[in-house]
Amino acid sequence: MRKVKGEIDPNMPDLSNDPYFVEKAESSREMLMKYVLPKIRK
Amino acid sequence: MLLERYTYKIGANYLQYRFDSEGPRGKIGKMVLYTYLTTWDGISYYNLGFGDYDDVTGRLNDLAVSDNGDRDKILMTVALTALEFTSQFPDAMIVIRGSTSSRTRLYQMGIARNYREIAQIFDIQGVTMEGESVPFRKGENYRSFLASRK
Repeated sequence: MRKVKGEIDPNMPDLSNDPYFVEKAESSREMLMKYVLPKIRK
Repeated sequence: MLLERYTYKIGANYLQYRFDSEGPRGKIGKMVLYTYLTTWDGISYYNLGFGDYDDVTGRLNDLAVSDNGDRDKILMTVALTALEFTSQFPDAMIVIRGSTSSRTRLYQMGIARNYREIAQIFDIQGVTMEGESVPFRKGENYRSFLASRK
């Protein structure tokens, strides 16, 4: 497989705690937990 | 076929990917952000967030419409970040959902157009309006998508 590695930027700001995206992630988590995951057959 | 894509930079945690869109409207910063959601049956689910990134304010805007004439190049770059991300987190399942229904349709069309190439690397599931995950089919509408490495 072709390598596609980009360059690491150690100075890139960490957005993992951005309130907007935390809220969006919570919405996706809720959708998964409520609708999708219970229907996935093990 | 080697599709056009942008060169990107990677955040130290492999959860963020930064690149610039270049077109008639100039250079527009873009960021892809993978956010851990939950683990279910041994699979870790991550949300894919994507939008315009302002280096000055440090804010990511997933509602912006940049209209820079490079839609496919951007989608290809986002797909490559998914490849990079799943190289680091091989057991991850990526949840792809547009910030609006029209953006979800845009993702759907992008997946459909490039499905042959994508399907060589990723398993793509569509999440139906009823919340059921089914194998992706062109022409079907989904509320979101799940992608994992084959």
